[in-house]
Amino acid sequence: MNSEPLNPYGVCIVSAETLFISQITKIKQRLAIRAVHRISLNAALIFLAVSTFYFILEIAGLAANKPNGLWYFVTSAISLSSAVFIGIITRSNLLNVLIDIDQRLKLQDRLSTAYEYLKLKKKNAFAELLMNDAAARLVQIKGRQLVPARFSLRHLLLVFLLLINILLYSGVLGSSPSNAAIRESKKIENAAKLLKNYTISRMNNRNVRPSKPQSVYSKKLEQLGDTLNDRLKPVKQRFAALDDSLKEVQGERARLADELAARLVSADIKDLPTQKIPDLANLSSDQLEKLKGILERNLNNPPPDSINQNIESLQELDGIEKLLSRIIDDLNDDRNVSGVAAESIINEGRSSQSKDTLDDSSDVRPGLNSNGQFSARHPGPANRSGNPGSGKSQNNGDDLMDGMELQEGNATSAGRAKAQEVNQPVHELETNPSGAIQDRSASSPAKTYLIHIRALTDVGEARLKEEEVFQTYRKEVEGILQKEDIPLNYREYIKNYFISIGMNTEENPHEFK
Amino acid sequence: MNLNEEVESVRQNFALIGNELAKIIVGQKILIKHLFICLLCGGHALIEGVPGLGKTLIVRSLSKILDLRYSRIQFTPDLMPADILGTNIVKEDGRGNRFFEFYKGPIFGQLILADEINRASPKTQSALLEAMQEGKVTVFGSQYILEPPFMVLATQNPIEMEGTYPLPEAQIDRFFFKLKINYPNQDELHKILDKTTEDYHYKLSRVIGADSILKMKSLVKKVPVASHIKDFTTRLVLASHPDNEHAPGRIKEYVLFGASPRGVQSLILAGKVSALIDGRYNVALEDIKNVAKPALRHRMALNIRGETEGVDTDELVEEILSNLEDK
Repeated sequence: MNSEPLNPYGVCIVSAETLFISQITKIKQRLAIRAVHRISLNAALIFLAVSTFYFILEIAGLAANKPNGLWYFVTSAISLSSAVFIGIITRSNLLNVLIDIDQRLKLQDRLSTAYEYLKLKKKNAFAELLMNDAAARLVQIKGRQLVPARFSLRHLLLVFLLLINILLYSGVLGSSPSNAAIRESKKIENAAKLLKNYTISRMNNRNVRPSKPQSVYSKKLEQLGDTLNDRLKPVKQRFAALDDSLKEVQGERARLADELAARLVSADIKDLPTQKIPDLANLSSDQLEKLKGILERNLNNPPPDSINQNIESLQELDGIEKLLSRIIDDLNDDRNVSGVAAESIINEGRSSQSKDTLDDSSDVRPGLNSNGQFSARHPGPANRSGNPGSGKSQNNGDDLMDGMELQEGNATSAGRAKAQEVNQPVHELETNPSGAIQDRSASSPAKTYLIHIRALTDVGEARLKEEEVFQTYRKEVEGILQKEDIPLNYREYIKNYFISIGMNTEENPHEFK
Repeated sequence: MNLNEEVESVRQNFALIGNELAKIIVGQKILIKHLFICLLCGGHALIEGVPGLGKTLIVRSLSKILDLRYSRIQFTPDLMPADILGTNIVKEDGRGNRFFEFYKGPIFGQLILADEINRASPKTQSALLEAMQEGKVTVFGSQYILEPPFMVLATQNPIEMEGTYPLPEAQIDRFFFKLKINYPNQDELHKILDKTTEDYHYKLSRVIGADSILKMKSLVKKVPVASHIKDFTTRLVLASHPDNEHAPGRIKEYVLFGASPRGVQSLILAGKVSALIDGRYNVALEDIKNVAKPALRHRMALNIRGETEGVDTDELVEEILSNLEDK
């Protein structure tokens, strides 16, 4: 039985100091937990604040590098060390904490006075009683009451910053860096898939026509596809490979065009029955096919193999260039290319097999031109209903000339140029501003309105005189303009169209005014 | 009796005194508590109140309860120091030899009621100085020790100021507390009527004696005070000085000079007794705050502006307290 004297609370007086020290130790433990909590909170706040700031910089384009493992490690280390530093300089004295507890729990300065007498070991008759009293009071108080966890403004700020970070990361408040990277990667993979499909379709064509060997371009396309699929290479490098390929194709096309022109000259085919000498480097596959037919008819024999091969190579390069242009377009646009585009490329392969059976109905479908080849996804004026270029050609093509299909092809191209000027002015890659090169199929702004139709007509007797045709057109157009059905701002556009089809004041008496 | 029991006895004695006084005094609990604090601190109190509120009755009743020798000095303008202290008178023995014998004045009591102290001249008032401060008097070169516990309870009427001599600062500072007696409320007035106009008989009993008081007095100075309490007290007193940087604006505006070091001593000692009355072993901030007004209100001298505008020093003390709590 305990024979020691007891205080009014039933606590042994002899052990008052020990009891008080044990209670103070409990408070110290709670304070340590709170200190860790504060440091964690401050570290999280600093980290999230830095992260938010970096996200904003990244969205604004001021941060060059994406956050990686090292970034997260360094930021975490800085946040933690800063939080520890703040924790050290703002740490509260235990005596002040006890004063706060005294005031909060209305202990009338019992704890603080007892602790002061304990710490300073002051000699006082009341010290023992005081510690005993304080310890007895502490025993009755729960630990949570002594050092309560308070929801402070910092907690609110943490929640706010956390939400901001989640929203930024998920891309709700701007393009998320990670999402952008994923999208870019996905787009490149789709492009590689597209190239693969294209190559397969070309090979299938050759299987139908086994005489043709696999061209070097198909091999290069395969290599390009492999490069694009190579995830080890950075996105920038893969974009550069795409640009280089397009540049190479364009250079090769120009070279072949020059070669073809030289061969035509050497084959003594100087005058083609066209209004103007065609720019061979700019002829589409259709036009090249038509050129082949004209040459056949003109020479009364198939053209020499060298010319034929040249034309076929140009046709293939045209297809490849359009494909690459399309891929670059798609990478620039934030769209998924796998759907329509992949389907288009397969159709392109099929359509090249049955070129003789082409009709204009394919123009209705976005993404495909009359030859089943790529055109802009954004239908330009020539592709839209009511467009003077395509609409007129479709209605009157049979009546005017046999070579009208060629005009349609170019009109489609012109329409694409207009559409691209409105929606996406240049073929620039988002992530590679300097690397993207100009797509030749995309017209410059000057080309948008002054559309030069290079019609390659067949030799034959015209059923109507040229003057009569223009007279009829002129009357119709003037009548429409006078009816004011055409808005004022479109009149100039229509006038330009008629000027573009070859009317000049000096040379042509049928100038349209 | 161990320390714990001694502390408990203080609390019990106070309760007993309060209950005994309640037989004749209605209300005035705070006044009685402050008088008890004053007694245990060895201080003197200046009680201010309009006539008829029971000032004299309280003091007389207290002397009976505490079993202390009671003296009453009615201060008048013609009262002389010798009337208070006593004087030497010539006596003759049986052989015809004449000699001086000191005739003790009313100051030689234990509980002195100095009624309407402000009606006597400053010369007479100053006769109390030595007695109050040192517990002894000097008459014709001879010193006479006053029997402890010695306590002066002076009263003054705040209304009838004509023909009075306000206490000099040196004297007023010697009062431990300046207490105010307020008008009783309606319930208290009802009780006063019952006790005074009906056939009400009471007999005040002796609760404690001088020995108990001295024993309790010896306990007071042992009560521990934390350093932050001392710090608060010193800041409180310093803030009553108009030239102190932490003094509130009204102090700078209306106070001529603030509380003396006696003010700090009063606050701490009164806080200690307050803690003992509460059964505690330490002084709390609340103790200091509770005794701040009676300890400081007479130690702050108002300037002319404060006097003319009738500024209450209690309001100034409250302002200092609230100002300190905000910091």
